[in-house]
Amino acid sequence: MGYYISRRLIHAIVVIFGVLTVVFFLVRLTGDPTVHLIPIGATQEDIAQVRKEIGVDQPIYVQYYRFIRKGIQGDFGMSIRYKQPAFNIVIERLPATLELTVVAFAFMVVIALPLGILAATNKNSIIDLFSSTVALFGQSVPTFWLGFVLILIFSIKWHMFPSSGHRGFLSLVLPGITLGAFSASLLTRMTRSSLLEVLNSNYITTARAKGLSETVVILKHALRNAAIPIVTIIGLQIGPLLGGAIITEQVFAFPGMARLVVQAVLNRDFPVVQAFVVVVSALISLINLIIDVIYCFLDPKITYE
Amino acid sequence: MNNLLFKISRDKKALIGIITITLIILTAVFAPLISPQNPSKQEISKRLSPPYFLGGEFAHFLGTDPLGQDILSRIIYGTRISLIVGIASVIGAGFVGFVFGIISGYFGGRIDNIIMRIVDLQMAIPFLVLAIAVIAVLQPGLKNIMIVLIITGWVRYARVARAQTLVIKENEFIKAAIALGSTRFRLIFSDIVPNIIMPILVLSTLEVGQMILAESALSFLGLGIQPPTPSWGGMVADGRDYLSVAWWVPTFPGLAILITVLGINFLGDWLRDHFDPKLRNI
Repeated sequence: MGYYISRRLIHAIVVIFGVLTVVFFLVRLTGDPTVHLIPIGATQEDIAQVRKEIGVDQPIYVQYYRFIRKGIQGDFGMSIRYKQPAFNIVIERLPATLELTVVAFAFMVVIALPLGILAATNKNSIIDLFSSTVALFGQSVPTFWLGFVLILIFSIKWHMFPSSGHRGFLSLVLPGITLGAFSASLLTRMTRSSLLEVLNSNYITTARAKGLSETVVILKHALRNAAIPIVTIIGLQIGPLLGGAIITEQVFAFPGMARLVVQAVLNRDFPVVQAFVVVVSALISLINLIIDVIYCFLDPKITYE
Repeated sequence: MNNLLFKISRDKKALIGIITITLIILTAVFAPLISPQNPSKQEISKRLSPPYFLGGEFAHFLGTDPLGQDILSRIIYGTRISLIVGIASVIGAGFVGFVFGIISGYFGGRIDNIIMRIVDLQMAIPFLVLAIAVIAVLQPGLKNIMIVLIITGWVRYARVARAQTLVIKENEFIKAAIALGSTRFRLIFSDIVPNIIMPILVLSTLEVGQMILAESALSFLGLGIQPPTPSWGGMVADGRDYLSVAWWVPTFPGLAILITVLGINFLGDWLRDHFDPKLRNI
């Protein structure tokens, strides 16, 4: 198990290095990196200062080394717009985004698992048709538009939930549903197909032949074996959810990272974009690492790999 | 081909998909003929006027947006942008991924390792985060959106192409071809490519829908297609501040996206179930 976890840990570190490298080269691909790191209308002295800081006159590997060294310490330079360290600005907005992601994640699991299980156990029934249709819609609907439709119905028409901002749990309901819809559809389909596959196996027939009740067969025998692909998919949704939060936040004027980042792109505030990309990717690697470790406890087979 | 069309016509889902897609393509091609108004003509005096069925003018059947532009005409022209971006980025990403996937699977060893590590790395970064990083450097615009979608999309094809190549490579007929002195080039093009093209085509169909969704999301954020060019995502964003007074501004363009992607997914799902049951869970 130790070997497995350490391998995963190395993988996570490699990913973070990779992301830093991608960001480093992205900025340099278009030519002079200072273009992205200075405000429009900066003086010659400012430009000279930034050039000295990132060391454009040095060979590329020296620049790379400096960038990585600073990046690991969370130093991505000063935000052009806010005149504060870019890293701090991103970190400040992170908790709200995480909160939204957690709500969406919970929504996904609570909706998708029962729907998928019901669809699989009642194959070709009206429930199955309903869940497949909902899932197909969920995978085709643009997130931001779904958000607007929910606002129109539940905020403007019925006044049930606030349409924007971040005040208390009620303000997280609509954004959470909006963000979780796509992943929930995916998970519903996955749960259904993994469970169906297991339900066709011989040991399920045996369990039924033993005279076990259908509930026991499904909950104890089938679901346990279908759990591994399902848990994998659940884990894989964290990245898309965290990334997708940007769109949802924009719809609900939610005070997370989204507005900051979109503005940063439009204002050419590249230090903030850099910090954002690295922070989010590092966070996802970390969460995935934790999931892998949990997984390792869930599935004894992995230990012997 | 005829056989395929016959099969599609017998399946309701596939039929709905193909009819929807055909109608959308026709709309895009004949946009100037069927569009009732000039999509960029602004009539400020008629801004936010309601759709015809809510008491608006027939000339603005689906109402007008905050600049007084005709929503129906903009949706019709927006079809072009969505289809161009969707199809072009799928062709681009599909080509890049296909080539790297085959190279990776066929040659194996170090080159396989390098390509697959890049794929792994990219899979670890969410689409939107990577897209934002690339757009921050390239700046928004039609051409750059396609570049972004190709950069973010090629990995999925590479994985499928590599996996399929690995399977095909072990077949007897490949060994026979090598024994007969077939060159590498010939082996790849006449033995491997034809045998792995179908899963790639199935994936491509489904990806067109995803690419259209991705483009609309970026345009919605203001990082994609820039106004005055009509794009569905941008049109939905235009309605953000007018939700309570003019619900039709964001609703109809969003419906256009939903219908288009739904049509593509209907067909894609059917193709997947039909040609490649193994891919069912992707």
